Amino acid sequence: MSDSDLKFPDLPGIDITPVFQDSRSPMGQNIGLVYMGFGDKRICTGLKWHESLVGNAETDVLHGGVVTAMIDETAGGASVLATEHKFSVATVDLRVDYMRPAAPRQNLYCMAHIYRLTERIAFFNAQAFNEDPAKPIAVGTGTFMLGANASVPDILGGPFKVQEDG
Amino acid sequence: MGDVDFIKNVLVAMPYAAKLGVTAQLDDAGRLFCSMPFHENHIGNAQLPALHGGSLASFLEITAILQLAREQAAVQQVDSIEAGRAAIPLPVNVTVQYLRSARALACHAEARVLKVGRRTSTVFCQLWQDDEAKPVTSMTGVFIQPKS
Repeated sequence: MSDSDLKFPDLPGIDITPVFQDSRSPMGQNIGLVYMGFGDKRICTGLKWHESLVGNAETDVLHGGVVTAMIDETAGGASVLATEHKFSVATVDLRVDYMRPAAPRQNLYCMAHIYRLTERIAFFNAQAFNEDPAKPIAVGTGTFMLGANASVPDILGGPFKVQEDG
Repeated sequence: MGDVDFIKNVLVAMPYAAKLGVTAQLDDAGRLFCSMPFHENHIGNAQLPALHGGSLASFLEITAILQLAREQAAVQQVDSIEAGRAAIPLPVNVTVQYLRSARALACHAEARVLKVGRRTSTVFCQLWQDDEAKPVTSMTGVFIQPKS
């Protein structure tokens, strides 16, 4: 295993089932997003640093838009996972606070959690970090509209089998 | 350095903008418009198809950075490529509203700097597809200047 391989850090006190599966959305694949774990209304993802994702060639730091895209997809996946019918979701809004610059040339990880689910809306929070989940690069919060359309996303195929409750 | 060259230099310094195919044009009145062509890679939901929220947010953030860097450069008299690169603003936070589903079409955006401050600047940005009167996505972002 080389240093650049993705390895999702432990999240203290949070039970995550590890998986390793490329994103099924074209944009997710475009930025190299990998699903790395799931838990109760949670999804974990990772992406490798790549020069094409850089926001400033002088610093080699990932563009803020990459972080936002990662948070959007991770939280969207968590929204689908959290619902029973598994229909597609659509982002209503999201806010991302960039807490500190991402470390240059470092892989990025993200964990999104649905903290409130209503009939039509999922409320999420998400953190993106390099190695230490306690020191997030960015924190995201926002909402998804559930059952936005009748299409069914297949992120829950493969290892993302619907979890049996209780 | 002219406005056109400056914008080009800031875009070149942002490799992620090239990956998304973002281009910038100035109209006769000097207004800056950015465009992102439709590409399969920007799709979030392939069944509809609809563009990914992350593609849209990324494009808006690039547009906001370009417009802000341009206005900052006018104030600070940035006169070299290196200084232009060093002038790329850092985002503090962005808030994105998804107003309509983004279809498999090209996207256009224009940013308006609401306030240029010594410490922080606030930029509002709107994205549309075939009808400018029907915004698809909007964003408000707060930025700081990198330490020189």
